[in-house]
Amino acid sequence: MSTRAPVELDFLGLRAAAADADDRHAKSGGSSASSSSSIRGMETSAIARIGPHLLRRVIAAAGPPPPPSTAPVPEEMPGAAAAAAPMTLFYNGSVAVFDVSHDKAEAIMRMATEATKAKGLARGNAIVGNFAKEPLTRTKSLQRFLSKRKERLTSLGPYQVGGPAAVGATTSTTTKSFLAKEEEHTAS
Amino acid sequence: MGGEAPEARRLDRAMSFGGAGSIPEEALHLVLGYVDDPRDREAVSLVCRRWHRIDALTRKHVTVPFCYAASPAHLLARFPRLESLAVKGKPRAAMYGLIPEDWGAYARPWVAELAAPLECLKALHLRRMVVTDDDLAALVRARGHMLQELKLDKCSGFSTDALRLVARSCRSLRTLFLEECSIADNGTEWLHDLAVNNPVLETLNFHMTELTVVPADLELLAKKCKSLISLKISDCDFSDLIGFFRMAASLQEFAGGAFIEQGELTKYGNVKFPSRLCSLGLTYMGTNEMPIIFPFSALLKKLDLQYTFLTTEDHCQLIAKCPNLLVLAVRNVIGDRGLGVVADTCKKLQRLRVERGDDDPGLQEEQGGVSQVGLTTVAVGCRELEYIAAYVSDITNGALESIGTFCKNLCDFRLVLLDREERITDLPLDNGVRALLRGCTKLRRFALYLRPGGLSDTGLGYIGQYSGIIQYMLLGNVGETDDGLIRFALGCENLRKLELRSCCFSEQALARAIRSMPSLRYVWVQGYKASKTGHDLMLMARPFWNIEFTPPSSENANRMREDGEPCVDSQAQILAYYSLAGKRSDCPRSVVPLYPA
Repeated sequence: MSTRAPVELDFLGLRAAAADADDRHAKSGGSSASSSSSIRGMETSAIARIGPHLLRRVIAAAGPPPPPSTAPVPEEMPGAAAAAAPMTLFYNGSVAVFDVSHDKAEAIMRMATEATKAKGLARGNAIVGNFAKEPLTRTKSLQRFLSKRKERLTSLGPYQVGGPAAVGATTSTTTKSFLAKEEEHTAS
Repeated sequence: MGGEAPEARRLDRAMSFGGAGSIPEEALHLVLGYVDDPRDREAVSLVCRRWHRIDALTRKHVTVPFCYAASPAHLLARFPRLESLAVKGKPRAAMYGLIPEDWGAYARPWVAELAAPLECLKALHLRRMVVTDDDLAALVRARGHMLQELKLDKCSGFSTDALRLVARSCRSLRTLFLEECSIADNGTEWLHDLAVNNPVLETLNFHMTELTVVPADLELLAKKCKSLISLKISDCDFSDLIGFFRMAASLQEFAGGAFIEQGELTKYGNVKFPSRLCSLGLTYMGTNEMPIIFPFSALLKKLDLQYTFLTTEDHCQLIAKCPNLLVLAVRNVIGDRGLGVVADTCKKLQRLRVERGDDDPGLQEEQGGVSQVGLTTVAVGCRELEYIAAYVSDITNGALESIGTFCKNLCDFRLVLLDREERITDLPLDNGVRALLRGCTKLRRFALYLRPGGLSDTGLGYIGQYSGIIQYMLLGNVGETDDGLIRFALGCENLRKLELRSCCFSEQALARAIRSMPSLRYVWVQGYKASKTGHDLMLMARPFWNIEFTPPSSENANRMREDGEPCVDSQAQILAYYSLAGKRSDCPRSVVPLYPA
C-alpha cells in the first residue's frame, strides 16, 4: 500500500521548515523567524505553517509519505488505476512539484477555489471577517446515541421514516441488524 | 459573603492570635469541623498562621479544579487528614472531542501521592483524566482497604482488569462511578467479583460506557448488595433485567438498559420496577414501551429522556403524569409544546436540561425544537428552577427577561442558540441578558453561546457589569470588537473560570482582559484572531500564570481552509491558569508552553 503513496518532492524543505516552526514555538515564540525557514532568501514560514498541512492532507494517501530521498522521478505503479502526473504549484514566490493523481489534483484545485471564495465573503462581513466561526459540538455520549438512532431509523423502509413512532413497527429482522451494528461499534 | 458586605468585612483579627483572649486551639478545631464551604475555608486559612495550620489539619475535602494547578505532593502534605479528594483534568472541551487524547491530565502523579501519608482518604473523584490499570493497582494497594468511593468520571486509559482488582480488593466500596469512561473491555468478571465481594455497595454507575453486561451478574449484585440504591448501566436489554428488578428492593435510581426489540410490547410488558424507584432514564425507550412507566410516574423525581425515541407527543403524555419531578433531561424533540406541559405539571422542577437532537432534516422531529415560547412558559410555570441548560432554535430578549423575573433561584443558566435557523426573532440579546443577570442574583454559572450578531459589545459589557457572584462562564460567538471584551473584563469580579469560543477578539485584547479580571484562575479560548506564534499572549505573562498555546494541528487543517485570511488559526487554543506547580512537564507535542517558557 505504501508503495502506492504519491511521491512528494520536498523542494521547499517544507517538512524541515514545519519542524522548525514547532521548535520556534517551543522557544516561546520570541526568536527571529529567519535562519533555516527561508529558502533562497524568501520567507516561507507561511507555507511552512499552513501550506504543507493543507497540501499534505490532500495529497497524502493512507500510508505515510516516502522520505524525500525517494527517487525524484516517480515510478509508475503496476496496476495503478489513476495514473499520477506532476502538479506544479507556485506559492508565495516558490515552486513545488507534486506527483498526484487526477482526482487529487481536482481536490486541491477545488480547495483553492473555496479558500478564495471564502476570502471574498469574509471581507464583506465585519464580524466574521477575521476569525473562523467554530462549529457547534455535541457531547460524545449524545453523538453516539444519535448515530445509533440514525441507524435504527434508516434501517426502516422509506415510507416508515417519520419519527420513532414508526420505529414501533420494526420487526425483529431489523432488530438483528441493529444489534450487529452495535457490536461493530463496540469493536471499534 | 454577600449581604451587608462593608460591615461584615470589618473583622477583628485579635481573636486569632495566641495569648489571652484568643480562641483555644481545641475550640477552633471543633468550630472548623462545621465549616465546609471551600470559600469559607479559604478565608479561614488566610487569617494567620495558626488558623492556617488548624484549617489544614481539619480540612476533610479538597477539590482541585485543574490538575496542573497544584503539586500533588504539596497539596497532600498540607492536608494530611483529607478524607475526600476530587481532581479535574482536561478542559471541558474534551467532552466535545476538542482535546486530543494524548493531551495530558494523567492521574499518575496524584495516585502516586495517595499512599501512606493520607491515612484518612476514603473517597477519590477523578474527572476527565487519564487513569491506567497501573494507577488503579497502585491506588488499590495504598488505599483499597479504606476506599468507600471511587469516581472515575469521563476518564480513559484503563481496562476491566483494573476494575476486577478494585472489585476484589476494595471491600468497603459504597460507590463505584465510571460514567462516560472509555474502558477497554477484557471481560465481564469484574461485575461478578464486585457483587461477590462488596456487600455494602450502594451506587454503581457505568452508564454511557460500552461495557458488556451479563444479566446474571446484575441479579447477583441485587442479591448480595442489599443496600444498592442506584444503578446506571450500559446497554442491556430490559427483558433480561426482569430478574434484577425483582430482587433490587432498595433501588431508587436506574438508568441505561435498552429496548432492543421495539414494537413487541409483550416482551417488555413483564418489566416491573422496584417500588422505591424514583429516578429513571431508560435508553431507547419508544412510544410503545413508555406505558411501563405510567403506574409509578407520579413518584418520579428524576427523569432522563435524552436517550429515548419518544416523540413530542410522547413527551407531553408522559410528563403530564409526572407532577413531582425535580430533575428533567430531554432532547429538543420535546418542543415548545412539551415544555408547556412541563410548566403546567412540574411545579417543583429544579433542574431542566434540553439537549440538542439531530440536525439531519430527515431525522428531525416534526414538532421538535425549543424557542422563546417554551423557555418563557417554563420560566413562568416552574419557579423553583435552579438549573436551566437549553439548546434553542430561536430566542428573544423577552424570554430571557422572563427568566430573570421569575426564576429567582437560578444558580446555573446555559443557553446555546442553534445555527440551523437563518432568522432569529430578536437579536442582539443585550437587554434580555442584562435583565436575566439582574434578576437571577444567585447565578454562579453562566453560559451563552450565540451567533455573530447575537450580543453586541454593549451586551458583553452588561455581562461583566452584572456578573455578580458568577464564578464560571462560557461565552461563544458574542461581542463585536475587542472593546466589548475589555468592557466585559471591567466587571467579572468573582469570575474564576472562563471559556471563550468562536469570538472575534485579538490576542492583545484577550491578554489585557484576562489580566484585569481579579479572581480569574483559569481561561480556555478557541476561535479568536490568533497570530502565528501566539506572541501577543505574552502580555498576560506573570508569576505563577501558566500559558499554554496549541497551534492548529495538521489533522484539523481541513477546517482552516474555510476561512480566507492567512492570519486565521481557527483551531488554535489557549489555556492559561494559575499554578503553584510550575510549568507542566508532560506537554504533548501539540501544546506549546509559552510561559513559563
